[in-house]
Amino acid sequence: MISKLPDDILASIISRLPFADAVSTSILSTRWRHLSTYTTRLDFSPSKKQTSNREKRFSNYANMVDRALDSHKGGQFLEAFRIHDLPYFSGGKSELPHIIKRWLEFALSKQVHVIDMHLHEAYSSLVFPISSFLTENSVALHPGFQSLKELSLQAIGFDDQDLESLLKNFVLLERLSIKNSYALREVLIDGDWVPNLKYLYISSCANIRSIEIRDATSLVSLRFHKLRLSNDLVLENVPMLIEFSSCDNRGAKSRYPIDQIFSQGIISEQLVKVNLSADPSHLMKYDTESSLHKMVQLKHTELEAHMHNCSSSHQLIRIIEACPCLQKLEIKFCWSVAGWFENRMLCEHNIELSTPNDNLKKVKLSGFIGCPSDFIVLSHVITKAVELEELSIEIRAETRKIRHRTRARVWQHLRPMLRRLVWS
Amino acid sequence: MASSSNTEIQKMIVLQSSDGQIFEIEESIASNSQTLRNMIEDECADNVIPLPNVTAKILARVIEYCKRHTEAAAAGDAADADDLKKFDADFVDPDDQETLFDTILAANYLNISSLMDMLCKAVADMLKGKDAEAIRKRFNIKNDYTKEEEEEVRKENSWAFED
Repeated sequence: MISKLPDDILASIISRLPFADAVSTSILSTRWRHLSTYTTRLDFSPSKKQTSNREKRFSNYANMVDRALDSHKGGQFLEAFRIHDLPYFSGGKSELPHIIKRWLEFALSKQVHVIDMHLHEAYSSLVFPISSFLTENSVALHPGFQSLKELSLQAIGFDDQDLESLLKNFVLLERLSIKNSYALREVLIDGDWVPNLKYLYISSCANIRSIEIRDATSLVSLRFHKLRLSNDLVLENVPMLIEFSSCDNRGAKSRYPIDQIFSQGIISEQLVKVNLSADPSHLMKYDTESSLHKMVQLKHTELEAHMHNCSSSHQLIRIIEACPCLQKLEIKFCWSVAGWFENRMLCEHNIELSTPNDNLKKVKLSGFIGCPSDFIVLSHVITKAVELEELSIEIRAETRKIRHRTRARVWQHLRPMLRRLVWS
Repeated sequence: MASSSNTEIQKMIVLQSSDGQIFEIEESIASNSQTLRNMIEDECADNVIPLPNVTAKILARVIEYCKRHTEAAAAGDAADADDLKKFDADFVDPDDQETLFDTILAANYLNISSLMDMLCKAVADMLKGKDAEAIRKRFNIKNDYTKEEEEEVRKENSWAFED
C-alpha cells in the first residue's frame, strides 16, 4: 500500500529519518534501493548500537557522515544538514577541525537551508576559526551564503570576530542558536548584517560578558540561558521583539531582566511572551510606591520565582499587577531553604491592590508549598482573574501526608471561589 | 475591502471530489493549498474545480485540517495550542494505512506543505527503528531482491545494518 506513493514522496518520508535508518531502507525492495540517496535532509545521529570504545564510536560516526557525502545524489540542493551528538574522543580533537571544514563545505555547496553542528560538550575547548574558514573558501561556499536560514552551533569554539564574520556572510539568516561556546566574550549583533534575523538563542556560554543587539528590525524572539553577564544587556531598536526569555543566568547582572524590563521599561511595551527565572526582590531597590512599567502587550508569562520571604511575594504581585492584559500566567515557586523556615510567620497583604483582569484565563502555580506567602500570591491571582477558566496547582511536598494536608488547605481556601480546578 | 469586522464576506471556492460530491469552502481555507491559491490568483477558480484524484472522504478530512489550522492562525495567541495539537495527533491513524496514504497523495496534489510535513513525519516515525522484515510486513512490501542482489546491498551498506 505504501507502494502507491510515488518515489519523490517516499524520498521525502525517508528524509525525515536519521541517516542510518534512511540507508537501511535500501534493503526493503529493489524500488527502495537508491531512494535514500535522494533525500533532501541529512540527519546524523549516532548509531544505537554503542560500542564502549570511544575511538570506534567516533570513527564510525565520522565515516557514516563521509559516506553520505560521497553517495549523495540529491542534485544541487539540500534542505538540512544536521550533526547531532558527535561522540567524544580525545584523540579526534586534532583532526576534528578538518572534518568539520569538509562537512560544512559540502553542506554549503549544496545551498542548504538549515545547518546544525552539535558536538559533544567535551569538545568545547576546541578552536574552530570560522572567520578564516569563511574567507579562505568564499568562492566555494558562496552558494551557501545566499541560502542558509537556520544555524545551530554547539560546543564549537569560536570567538567574537568569528561571530561577526558569520553574521556578515550569512545574510539571509533567520535563526541562530549558540550553545557551549566558551571563546565568546562580547557579543554584538548588528541588524545591518543580518536583517532577517528573527530568533536568537544563546545558552551556556559562561565567558560572555556582554550582549549588545542593535537595529535587529526583524528580531521576534530572544532567549538566553545559563549565562553570566557582567554588563547590562543592550537592546536598541528591536521593534518586532515580542518574546523574551532569560533563565538560569548568574553573575553580577543576573538581576538584569527584571530590572531592565520592569523597572527601566526597556521593551516593556512590546513584549507578548516573557519567560524569566529571577528573584522578585531585586525589584525592591525601586520605590515601592511608584508603579512598574506597564507591560501592555504581555499575554503569556512564565516566571520561575526565587523566593526568600514575604517580600518576595509582594514583589511578585507587583510584577503581576504590571501586566494588565495577561492571559496565561505560570509561576514556579523556588523557595530557598532559609525562606522555607522563615515562612511560618504570617504575611500581611492588601488585596485591594489588585485590579481585576478579565483576560487572565489560565493560571498555573507549581512548587507550591502552602506557606502564607504562597497563599498570598494565590489569593491575589484568584481575586484578580475574574474570568478564570483554568487553574492548575502543583504542590511540592516531602511526604504524601504533607501533600494531602496542603491539598486540603488549598481546597478549603479556594472552594468558595472557583468553577474548575486541575489537581496535581 | 474597507471592513475589518469578522463577518467580512469571503469568496467561496467550490471543489468537486472524484466521486461527484461538492464542497464549498472559504477562500482563506482554500489558500492552504498552493495549487488552489495559484488557481485563485490566475482567476481560474470561479467555477467548480474538479479534483479527479481525491475522493469525498479524503477531501473532507483535508478540508477539516485546513479549517482548523486557518482558524488557529487567525486567533493568534488566543488560539488553543493544546487543542490543535490533539487534533493533529488524532488526525493520523497509523493503523488505517489506506486513508493515510490517500491523504498524503491528496495533500501532495493540492500542495499543502504543512499537512505533507505532518503526514510524512508520521510515516517516518512508523519506519524508525524497525528492522526490514517488520517494515515489510507492516507495509506490505514485497521483497523482490534476488539472493545475490540482497547480499550486494547488505555489503554496500553494511555499517547501517549493524543493528
